[in-house]
Amino acid sequence: MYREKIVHRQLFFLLFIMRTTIVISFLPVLTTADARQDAWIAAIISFFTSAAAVYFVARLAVTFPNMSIVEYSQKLIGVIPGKLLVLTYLWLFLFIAGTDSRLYGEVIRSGFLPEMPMVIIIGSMVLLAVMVVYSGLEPLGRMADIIFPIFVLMILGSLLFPLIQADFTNLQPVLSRGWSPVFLASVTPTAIIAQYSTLTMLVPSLTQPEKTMQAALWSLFFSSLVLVFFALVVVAVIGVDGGARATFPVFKMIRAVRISDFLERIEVLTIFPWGLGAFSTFAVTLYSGAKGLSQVLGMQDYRPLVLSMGVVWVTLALQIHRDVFEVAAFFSPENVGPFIAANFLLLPTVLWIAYFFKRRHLNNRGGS
Amino acid sequence: MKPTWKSVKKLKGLFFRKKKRGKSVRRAAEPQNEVGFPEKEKDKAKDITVDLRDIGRREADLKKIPLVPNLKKNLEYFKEITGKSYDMNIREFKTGPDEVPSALIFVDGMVDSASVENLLQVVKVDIFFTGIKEVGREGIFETIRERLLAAKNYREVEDMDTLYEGISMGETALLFNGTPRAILCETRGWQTRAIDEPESETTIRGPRDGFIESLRVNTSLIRRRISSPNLWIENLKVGSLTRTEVAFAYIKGLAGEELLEEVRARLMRIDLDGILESGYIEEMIQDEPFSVMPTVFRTERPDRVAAALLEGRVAIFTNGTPYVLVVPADFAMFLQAPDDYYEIFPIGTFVRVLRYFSFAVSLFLPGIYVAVLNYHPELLPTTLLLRIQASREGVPFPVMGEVFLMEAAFEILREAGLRLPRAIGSAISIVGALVLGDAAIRAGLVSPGVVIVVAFTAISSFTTPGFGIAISARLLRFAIIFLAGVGGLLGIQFALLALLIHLVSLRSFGHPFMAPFGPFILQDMKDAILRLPVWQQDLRPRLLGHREPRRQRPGQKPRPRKILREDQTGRKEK
Repeated sequence: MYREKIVHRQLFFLLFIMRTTIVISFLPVLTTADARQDAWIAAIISFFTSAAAVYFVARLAVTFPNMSIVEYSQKLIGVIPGKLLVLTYLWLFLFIAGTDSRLYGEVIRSGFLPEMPMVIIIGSMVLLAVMVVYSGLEPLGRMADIIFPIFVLMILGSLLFPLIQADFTNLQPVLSRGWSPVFLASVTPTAIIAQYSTLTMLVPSLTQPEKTMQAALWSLFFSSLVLVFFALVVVAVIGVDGGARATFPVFKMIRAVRISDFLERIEVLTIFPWGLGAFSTFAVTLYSGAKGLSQVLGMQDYRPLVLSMGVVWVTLALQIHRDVFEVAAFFSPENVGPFIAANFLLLPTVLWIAYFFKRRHLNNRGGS
Repeated sequence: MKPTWKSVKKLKGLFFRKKKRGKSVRRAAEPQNEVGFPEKEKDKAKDITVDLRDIGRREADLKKIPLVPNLKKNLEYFKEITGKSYDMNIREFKTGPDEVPSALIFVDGMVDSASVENLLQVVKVDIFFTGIKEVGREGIFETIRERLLAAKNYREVEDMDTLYEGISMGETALLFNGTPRAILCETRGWQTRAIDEPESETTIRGPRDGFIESLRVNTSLIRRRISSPNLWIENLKVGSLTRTEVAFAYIKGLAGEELLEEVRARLMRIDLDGILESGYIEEMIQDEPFSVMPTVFRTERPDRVAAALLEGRVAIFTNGTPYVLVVPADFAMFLQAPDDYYEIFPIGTFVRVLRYFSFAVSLFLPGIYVAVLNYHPELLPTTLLLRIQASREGVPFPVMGEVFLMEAAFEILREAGLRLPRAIGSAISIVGALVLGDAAIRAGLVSPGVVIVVAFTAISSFTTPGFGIAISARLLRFAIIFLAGVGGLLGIQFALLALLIHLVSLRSFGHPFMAPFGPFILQDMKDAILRLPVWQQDLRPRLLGHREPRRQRPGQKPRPRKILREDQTGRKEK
């Protein structure tokens, strides 16, 4: 059967876009909860912790370059336990998709279209994701190619324009409350790494699976860089208290920007790439979920599942959180930390253990 | 072993036996074709107009008729199939010392009269000057074919179908009593339009010749540009009734063999009764039949076709139309104009960037206007917003209605301008500009802002060189206006993403439609939005020219020779 392929460059683009999108909206938690003006240090720390987590997951995926996590978990711990345990990942995909789309809906509604029904905002995006996933993985990779430059340009714009009004004295004093709140604050950006779980479904479709690690870590690096800069600029422009009070500080910051009389209200610069980024996230998670489920069920093609999964997903996104405050509460470190740790790391841990026990056996079979 | 006369004779014998065998087969086939004719075949004076067979039957029967030795019978059959068509000229005469009954058949208006007269001269007069005495009844065919015929090109046919086909293409048929074959001489010479500048694709700088309706002339225009013998042109006939000649040209060894196979297969698969324009072929060979986007490129300019061939693409020529199809097509092609390459590269790049921008404007501007005014007025600077709102004072329609109205009016104007006879074309511009534009604003029916937006959109859409994609944009614009009216900028984002998804999932003959952008190919970016200097275009497009990626010697950046430079500074070196 013809297997659709993407290039590691496209994987890099997709992962970068996915993470950066959420990063932009995540700043509320970062700045308000604990770290305050030291959010940027938390961002730097989160890079190292996320890198460790990504390495943990991706290393295993690269060990089985031609298999998705559904396939190699069955190989490592047996068919039935493998299928059962992999459901945690499939659930994670769906949950990420649901939460992200709800977040997207809340951002659009609070900042842009207050009277638009949530189901339409989310539904239209999910419909697009269904369209692209239905066309296949190759179009998805190509979309990443096209979206990436637009995305990067707009992110740069929304980082650079506010600098005019930046007041970097807001960042002082550094580490006034010691290290512990900073570490606590780095939990949330680390937890977003759960999105990288989709990697385990994409690796077998790569033309050069050995470059997975490179793509994953570089994308992590650059998106963390964006995170650091946003943490700096947001605090510098609207101050610690402004950032703490706003639901979506980045949008508040962009809105505050005013360059001469003519150029004001440039939040389109952020909202628009945000939409593109949200779309990529949805598409990747939907693809991973549908592909994974089809493999669990032993189906040849994942396409029949796509539309029905989209419908389930929209319902989930609407029901999963009651309002925007609940979404924000979910992302506070004490909630999101254990949740992601359990879902994201449980399966790879089991698989790693199984791998260490079976390694010799597998190697022998591969050699003969 | 050297060929001796004996061996030649032997060969000849073989040849003859073969012929005879062929003949007997033909004879065996003869009773079959009786089916095709009315009962009273012997009745010489029967009226052929009362033949009641339907067209499918007639065409099928035509395929079965072989030529027979009897000239009279052949001509009878011929009249049977062509009816009383007044343009079929059948000239009967006797030729040679033995006065063999012969006939000459041609179609008036499709042949060059001088050539036909020359042919008659040969068979009626020249045959006596040859000194060949023993031209018998049997030998006359061979003699004329081998020794007398002065036509530049001829072929031999053995059945009525090919005979008619040749005649209908402007060839002249020679038939002799006693020979079950005919000679088709190349005497083509019909009136064609002169080669002039294509009206739909004009350039400031660049060749002024354009394709015309004749296939032969069109392929010759390409042959004149690419002299390499590796320019190969294959042809085939498409259309069961029109039997249109279709040819496809490519550079052998450069165009991918799979691509050629695909083109061949797709052309062969076409089974229509008529091909009147290359549009028929385009619709029959598209990858995505329901898409609004054109996945086949069409052009009237030989220089564009030649450039495409040099990239490893295939050009499909259709007889009877000046539009030549180029496959595989990609998005960038539709936004490239020949001028980009003929002007120096900074200007070429500037113009091309401008064109991409105006393509985006022609798609999205009315939609953005609707979305911003309806949903996001805060995005506009205050003074601008106030100005627009003031001008909308008293306009009875919502913004979306206004834009729809004006866009529809403009589309109607454009269509009317296209259909009108040229003599009264100026009336349209007066009615359009004065009545619809000025009066509508004065009456307060539409606001000036909308008129400006619609006009700017229209002008932007004219900058797109590929007409195929420009009309798609026109169609999509309405959908975008609607989505913008429903969902504001969210709707526009939806439209943009949906359009992109569709574009990236398109393929044209296996080639990704959005090729240099998605999949992103860095080396092809040199000629996508930017146009780098010719001396930097060292590589062919990666997906098309993969058989021979390098197109020229690298590092050809021009610089004056050292001596010349020193001359100018006055410091001559010894």
